[in-house]
Amino acid sequence: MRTYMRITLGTLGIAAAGAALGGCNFDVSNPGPVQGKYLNDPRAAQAIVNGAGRDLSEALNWIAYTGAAVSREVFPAGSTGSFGITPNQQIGLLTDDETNTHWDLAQRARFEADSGNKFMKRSLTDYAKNKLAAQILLWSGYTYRLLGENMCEAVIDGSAAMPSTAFLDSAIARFTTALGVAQAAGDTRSVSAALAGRASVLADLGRWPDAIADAQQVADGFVYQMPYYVTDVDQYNRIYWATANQPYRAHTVWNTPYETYYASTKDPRVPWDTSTSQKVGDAAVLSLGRVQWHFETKFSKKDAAMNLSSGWEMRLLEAENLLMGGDVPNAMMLINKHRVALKLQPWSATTADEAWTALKRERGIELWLEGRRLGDLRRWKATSAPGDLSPLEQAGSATSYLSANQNLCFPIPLSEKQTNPHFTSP
Amino acid sequence: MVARRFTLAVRVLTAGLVAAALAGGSTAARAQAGEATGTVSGTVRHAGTENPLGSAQVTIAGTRIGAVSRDDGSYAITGVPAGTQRVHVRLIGFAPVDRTVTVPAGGTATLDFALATSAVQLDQVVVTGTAGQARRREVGNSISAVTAADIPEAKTDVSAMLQGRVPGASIELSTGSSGAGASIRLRGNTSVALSNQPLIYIDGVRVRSDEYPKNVPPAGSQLRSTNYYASPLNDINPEDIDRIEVLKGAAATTLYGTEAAAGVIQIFTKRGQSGAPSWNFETSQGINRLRPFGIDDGGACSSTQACAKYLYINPWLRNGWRQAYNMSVNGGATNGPRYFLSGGYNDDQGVLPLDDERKYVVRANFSFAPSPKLNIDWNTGYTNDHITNTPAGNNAAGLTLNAFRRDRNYYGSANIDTISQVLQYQLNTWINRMIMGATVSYAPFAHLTNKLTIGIDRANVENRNLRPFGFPESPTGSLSDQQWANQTLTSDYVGTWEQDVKFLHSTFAWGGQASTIDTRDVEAFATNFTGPGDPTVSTGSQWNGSENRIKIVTGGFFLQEMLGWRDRVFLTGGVRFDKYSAFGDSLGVQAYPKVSASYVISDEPFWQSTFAHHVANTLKLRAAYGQAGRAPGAFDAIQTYDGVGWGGQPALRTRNVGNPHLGPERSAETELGFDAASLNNRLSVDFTWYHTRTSDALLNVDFPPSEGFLRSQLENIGALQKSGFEIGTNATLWQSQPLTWTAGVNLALSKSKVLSLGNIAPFEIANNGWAIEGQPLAVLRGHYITNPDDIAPPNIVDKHLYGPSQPTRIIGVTSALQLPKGIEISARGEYQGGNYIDEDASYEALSRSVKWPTCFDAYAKAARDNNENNWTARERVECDTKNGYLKSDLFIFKADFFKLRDVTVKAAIPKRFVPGAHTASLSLSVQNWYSWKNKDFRLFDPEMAGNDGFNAQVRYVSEQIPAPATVLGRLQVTF
Repeated sequence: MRTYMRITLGTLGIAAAGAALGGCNFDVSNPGPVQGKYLNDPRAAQAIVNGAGRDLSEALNWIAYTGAAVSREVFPAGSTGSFGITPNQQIGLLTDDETNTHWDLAQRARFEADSGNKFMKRSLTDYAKNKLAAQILLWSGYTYRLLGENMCEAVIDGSAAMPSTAFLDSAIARFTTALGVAQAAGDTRSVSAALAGRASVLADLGRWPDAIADAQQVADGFVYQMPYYVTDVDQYNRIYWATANQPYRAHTVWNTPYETYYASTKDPRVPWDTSTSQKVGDAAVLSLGRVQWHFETKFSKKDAAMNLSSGWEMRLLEAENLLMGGDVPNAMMLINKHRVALKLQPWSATTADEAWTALKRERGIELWLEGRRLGDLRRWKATSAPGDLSPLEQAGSATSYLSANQNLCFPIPLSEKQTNPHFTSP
Repeated sequence: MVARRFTLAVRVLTAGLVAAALAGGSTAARAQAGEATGTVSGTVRHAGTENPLGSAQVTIAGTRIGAVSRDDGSYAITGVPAGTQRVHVRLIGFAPVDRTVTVPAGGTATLDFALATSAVQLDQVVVTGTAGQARRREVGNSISAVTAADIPEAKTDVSAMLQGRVPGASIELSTGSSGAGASIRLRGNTSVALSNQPLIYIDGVRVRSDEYPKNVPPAGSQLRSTNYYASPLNDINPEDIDRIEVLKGAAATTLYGTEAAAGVIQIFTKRGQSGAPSWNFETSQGINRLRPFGIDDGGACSSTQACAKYLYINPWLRNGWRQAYNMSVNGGATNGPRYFLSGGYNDDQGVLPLDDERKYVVRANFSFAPSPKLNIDWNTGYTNDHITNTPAGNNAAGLTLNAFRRDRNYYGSANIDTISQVLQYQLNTWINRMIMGATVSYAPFAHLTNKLTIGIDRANVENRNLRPFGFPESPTGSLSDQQWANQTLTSDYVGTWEQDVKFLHSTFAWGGQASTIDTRDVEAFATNFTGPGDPTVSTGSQWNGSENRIKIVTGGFFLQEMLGWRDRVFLTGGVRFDKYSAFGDSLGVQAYPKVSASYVISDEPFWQSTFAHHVANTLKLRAAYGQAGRAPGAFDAIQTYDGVGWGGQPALRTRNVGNPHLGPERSAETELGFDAASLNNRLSVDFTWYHTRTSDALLNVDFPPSEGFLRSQLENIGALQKSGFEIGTNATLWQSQPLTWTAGVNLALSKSKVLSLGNIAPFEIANNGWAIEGQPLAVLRGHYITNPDDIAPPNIVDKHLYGPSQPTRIIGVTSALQLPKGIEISARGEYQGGNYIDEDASYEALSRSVKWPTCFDAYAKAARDNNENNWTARERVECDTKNGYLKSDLFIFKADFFKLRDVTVKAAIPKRFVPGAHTASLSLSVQNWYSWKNKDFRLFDPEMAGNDGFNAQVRYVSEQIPAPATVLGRLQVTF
């Protein structure tokens, strides 16, 4: 009997040793990702605000670059994959299977700004006059503007499709709140940013008197920018990096209206350059084979900032408002105001058509590569604004290589359609 | 340099092995002193060819005394108690033989054996999945085994040992770069969202089965790399392996619990056998050579002339020299310590100019039985591997991509010197791997056994990725260094109690396992070096770092009862209970049941006395049902945000929605089958039908991007199904002087289906592979040209369902001819098919208007007729982007292929040429030289993979080269 007991105890001992050596503590907490509950801590506010800003910067990167290609602010020069321009986009088409990233990044930025704002409302006792609160509201407003100006339709928090003006309406609400918080906080720079942002959105919506009221409060030299950083590739200015020859030479200013314009004027707002060692893009495009590589230098480094709003843009809004009222002389004075400051030859126009042509050209120059051109083209098309575009940026033109069916906005992509119950499954 | 390294390695290894062997030998001598014993010696030969048989286990019945026959068939067992003894001889593939001999005290009795081949061996012991060990006759599920001694060719790696030899196993090669590993799928994919790699155990110790991390910087494009993944499995020296057991599904893997639904592979390394030291030296020398994978347009092909046959990379290709040296010794005392010690050096030069893999491996396995009731096994394996690579894959700074695209590459030039600038890129990987385990077996009396295994698998990987100062695409240089470590701790206890109750034999087993997997990953990245030189991360002017630490704990216990009736009917039932640290908070212990039965009907008297015995002289019927799981990842159950930083400031970003109810997906499998032998055991048939249903399948549910979380969330909402059958046949077609001819065919047919997606819409898993209800998992979906060969505009339909991504037909064929004088000729081929694969490299090139070989005919026609009206529909789609037809999902092709995996000729070297040797043989193997592929698959190799890891549920072809063919000569000498 004692033998059996010894055996039994020995067996159990071995089993127990095995279990102990396994160290079966299943309550494992892995470091790294931050659990959602910690965002309610007021000390997380700065990181929340920066997260919204960073995500807007990435969305702006993608939309501004693809928008530039489709609207011929730049011409495709090769790459179609990473940092490239797809064959569809090369001919001006934005299809729902190629715009997931643009939509997704912008929607994430929008959600993060909105949800971050809610976290901060709960956690910040001085929310109504807190500069961080003003900042996240500004990021939110500019994100909604980016979506409203570039997307064909709106979807918010899993809703059904709505007109894209729903984004713009939300932008106005965010800018308005931001304005109040910034004023309470004594943050004059944020006040101007909110006014400029709201003015542009009001113009998009055709609410010109309100737009001009805001625009006139913004000084000529005011600039509000989205910063970019050298920290990692996602934080680089994407338009720069896509043609930095490291290794991408994916776009060129060749065969755009800005090529010859800059060559003749040296307007510092649309600069480009050439390379002695690399004369052509990084692959062949369309039926053209290799095309000349004239790289833009407006963004000449990884951390080149991109304008979100400026006083000069406000002047052009005021000019557009005057043109709609038929006031060509005063409109031309405003159109040329920045040109005069830059010592450039002013545009001349005697007719409304000529003035509209000048306005369209000048807005293209002033806002070049800032993700605004598609919105402008769409707005002018919707209102049948007079004035001509360059043949190099016209749909269906033989020299622009743009399809007659050129798209002026990003469709709701498959990533939304395939997951949102309001849409038919594919 | 290599020669010097080798010399040093051999000296160190030899010194170590000699010391150990002498120690073992002296122990043996001490153990034998003063006993009334004698020696039994003789030879083991093939009953047909009379060729000597090595690796046969010769044991004295009722004792632990025994020996293993050498390659010349000789054996000697010392310390055998004088008197009449029964001697057993067992060798896989041959019928066991028992004979009686009288052993004179202090003398030697001679006993020779002639073994006849035997197709089915129901008394062979298997270990994996059986709770202790069991004879095949007792096991109700299918279990495949590969025995190293049966493999005639020079072994290159563990993955290659399994190719074409295990029905239902698909060994999926990746690329032709040095160090590239193969993924393994057993009965296809089991999971949509989780790893489909089987669990791997070595000598009872769980080891890493998923790939090592890719050598790529933590910042920027994840393609600045060679774009392959190394396999931990290839750290194991194939020369150290005794056998491999493979369980393919949940019916067999229940006792492994939550992570075992994709199957289990267990590798058993060689162990020491009592007797004098037996030395084995093996070397193989040969070349790796890339076979053509492009289109032969008749263009000149040389080191200075790029040609379409090799997709223009031939100027950079070389015949990579391959050399391996292995030395081992085994022996030990009859009742004392036994040892198996080995060391090896392997230098595998790749076909790309910078590719090389140099590997040192050392193994020390010891066994010690201090008493008849106690046995201790200690196993240690260490590998040191250094891999250098050429940048490849879909890497803008890589050789393959830029060579393939010629003048439309990132350099805008097809010039060899210009493209060769990418060779400044330096990619180094160092792998240090230690696997150590101890197993204590304690059988206090006849009824009770206990076995405890404790083990550790530690892998340290350093990936260093340098684009030096002056590199064309990174002029100021960049460097990343990754220090990655994975540690798996295993403890495994199994107890069994055997009891005879009247006509029943009961084996009750209980046990538990625990594993802790701890992965730590620290990466540093720097750019902007001050100038030329050999930099470190510290010398960069801009730094970036990342750290990841993940720990997962799994543990469980099981109970199992097996009842045997008259040693011919066996019924087994069991259950495994599991807990896992990554389950959601609301989830408790998970239970996985199993039940199986086997019936050796051919042992029944009625069978023996009827005609049935002549049809099948051995027949075992079997049935099994079991469940196993697959567990989610460490962070899947929790809502989380990522700290991403923004210009050096803190920033948070949405990561994971979280799901507190997250649990494992559960696969339930039913197997029915039989093992039969006929024609006097000269023909064997192993048939298995299986049906697996996975419920609570974890699917990556994507949320609308407008809800802000872009990452998908795992949800237990799906249901999947797979089924098929596997047939393994082996036949001795001829067994008489002067030759024996054997042949085997493995056939596996399978199909899978997505039963339910839990009310979510069909979704793309990866690489144009979709999860769609009623369709295979995954099904390739994309655009399709309905009139590809018409001289007309293309008619293109969207969302065309091409077919499954995984092979549905796998056929392995082997044949061997054994001739006198130890001459053996063998061949092995493998066909895989029924599936489709996305050949993305062509799309990537054509979308950039690269002049591509598949369009050469179209270009010629256009040049001749000065228009494109005479192009076929496919040519209009592919060959001119301005037509606007080109889509990335138009390049999906049937992936059927056949490869002659190996042809080997082996011959014994007469002893007079190798003085002092017991045996010596020379063999020549040609591996993967000949292949066939579906004609639709015009470029590349359907067996290739893209830039993804082993867990890519859907493979694709990227800008890689295929795995090269190998020609190897092998010399093996035993002393």
